[in-house]
Amino acid sequence: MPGLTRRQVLSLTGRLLSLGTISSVFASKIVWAQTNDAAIDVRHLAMLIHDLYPHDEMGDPFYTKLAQLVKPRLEGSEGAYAEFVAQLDARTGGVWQSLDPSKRSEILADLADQPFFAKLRDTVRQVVYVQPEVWALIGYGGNALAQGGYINRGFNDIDWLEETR
Amino acid sequence: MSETRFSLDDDSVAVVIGSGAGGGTLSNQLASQGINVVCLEAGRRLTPTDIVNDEAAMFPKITWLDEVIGEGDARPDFPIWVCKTVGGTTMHWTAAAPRLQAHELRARSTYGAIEGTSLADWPIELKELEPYYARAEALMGVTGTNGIPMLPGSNNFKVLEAGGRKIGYKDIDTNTMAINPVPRDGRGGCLQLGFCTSGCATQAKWCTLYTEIRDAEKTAHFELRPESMATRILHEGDRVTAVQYMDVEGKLREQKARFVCVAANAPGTARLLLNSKSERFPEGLANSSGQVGRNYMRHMLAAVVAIMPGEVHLYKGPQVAGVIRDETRHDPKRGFSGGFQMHIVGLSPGSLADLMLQGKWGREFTDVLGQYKNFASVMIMGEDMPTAENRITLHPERKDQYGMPVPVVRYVNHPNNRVMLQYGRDVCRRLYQSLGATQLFDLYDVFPATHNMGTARMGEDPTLSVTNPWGQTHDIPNLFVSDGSLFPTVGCENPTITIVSLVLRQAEYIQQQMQRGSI
Repeated sequence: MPGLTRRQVLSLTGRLLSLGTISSVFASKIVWAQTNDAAIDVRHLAMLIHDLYPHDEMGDPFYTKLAQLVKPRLEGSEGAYAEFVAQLDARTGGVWQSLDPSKRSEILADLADQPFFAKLRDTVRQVVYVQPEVWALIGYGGNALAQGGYINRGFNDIDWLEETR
Repeated sequence: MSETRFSLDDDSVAVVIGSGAGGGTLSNQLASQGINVVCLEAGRRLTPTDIVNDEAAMFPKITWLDEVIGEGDARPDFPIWVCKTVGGTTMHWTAAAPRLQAHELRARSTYGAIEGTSLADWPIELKELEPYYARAEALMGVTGTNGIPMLPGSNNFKVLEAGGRKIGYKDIDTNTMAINPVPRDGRGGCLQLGFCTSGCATQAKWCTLYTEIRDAEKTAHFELRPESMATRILHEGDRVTAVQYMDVEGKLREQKARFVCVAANAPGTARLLLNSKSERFPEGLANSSGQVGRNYMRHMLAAVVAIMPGEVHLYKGPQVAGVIRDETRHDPKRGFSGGFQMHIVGLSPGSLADLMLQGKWGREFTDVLGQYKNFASVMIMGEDMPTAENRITLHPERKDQYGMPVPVVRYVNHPNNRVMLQYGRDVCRRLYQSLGATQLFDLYDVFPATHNMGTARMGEDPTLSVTNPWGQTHDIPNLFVSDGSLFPTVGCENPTITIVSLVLRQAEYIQQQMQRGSI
């Protein structure tokens, strides 16, 4: 985005472009004001991503991959991330990571009003639903041209409408 | 690409600003009549292999990402979704090509005075436009016309049709689409890809890049200059003389001109005229009426997503090839003026994830998105009302990379939109419920405007309109507006084919004026 100042980029991303395609383009440009040297632990981030978007069919390796993709998009907000994690730990006596997922989600829900939670939720979402693994899971075909389109692959194969008559 | 080049000081050329539906079509019409044309396009030229089935890759290639500020109900960050590429927004358009209806061109007479609006009748009636619509349909290859078959119905369409008939609708088909069902015009047939808005990889969809621009380049009368951003139109007295633009190397150039046609999409056209103000036109070029930038219209736009009892795979096939027209009539008994279309819309998981469950997460989110293959979706697209205060202005301080003031898009929904939205939402819900939909989601106030119109309206009265009924500005005889800015009102139909029809008519008028020596 030539010609845009950093402040504008911040304001653009802060308001969050809501179309997935748009946001995925802009997300890589996110530069947050905060800086902190604390590194984000990928394993911990993967757990958070799972709890934000739990798809039971997807295993740990997938969530680890997501965490690796999300991590660079959180560059500059490591401090906010660490603070958020500290709050999760504070509410669980330091054992948030070892709780079962439903319990972890309850704790997360307590923090859902925080600005960083919204940032995390939206940043992660823009990554999760453009992954071919998720597309395969939920039934989206991705690159249609590479497969010859849908003209011979079921664009009009609906078979349950009769039953609704 | 052609070898034709014109010199900057050649004042016999027509300069067309923009290469989309208006500018691309007009360029070809003029060039094919032997009129020399220089077409300035801000965006770059893509090659066929640049167009791929990847939304995230295509978005930055084709979208206008220079700063535009939204105010009021317009999204602040991204108020309009238009293109910056050769072919303009015909690269992104969904190719629905319905004609406006007779009563919609007489909106003020039909609807009466509506508070808060600047409603007007068009200065031309439908019957004057009909021959040009017919020519546009042949040119663009519209389905259901000129012996071109309709597109086959996708699953998403079949759901809409079945539900529509169940609740009593009758006027339902796969829509008049500028998409080849079979190869035509040297372009491929539709493969049911479902990536219309990312650019059509088979060229089955009409886009000026590989139709009008291609044809204009076969003449010896056309030069396209991509990555050339028009910044100012210069004039002497009441004649425009040249267009100043920034070229691909960032150098400011001046192209002399016999006449100038502006087709920069409604916000861009208004911005260029406003930025071309002078001592003689202190409020903006050709703006003695004060109407340049005002009466900015979109369409009332919303969608309903339904989770159906069986699989639909709504992403398969042209994104909007399916329509119900029963609600396009004007019927004040419904509580609002004007009508709306109900057309299918195919959206990717990435887009839907962001649009339909805002603020949600966890199981509440994944339980819904996990049923994507059962989603069906319809869009409601209704007539918008012109108001004087919905308008394009120039930001007083902010400038873009060309040194142009950043445009500010101010848009507030007229109350008519809200009543129509409620009504439309309710009928869409009933439609899907009649087929056993298990969950329904409303998407409104989330879409940036892809239809932008009305910012240089045409009319008979120079104090109330910017151009005459042919798009010639009242103030400057050799300056034309050649895009959706001309629309006095917008009906509930997709605007592209009306833009094309208006410039086909304008091209004839320009030739007559040239023959008479008036321009």
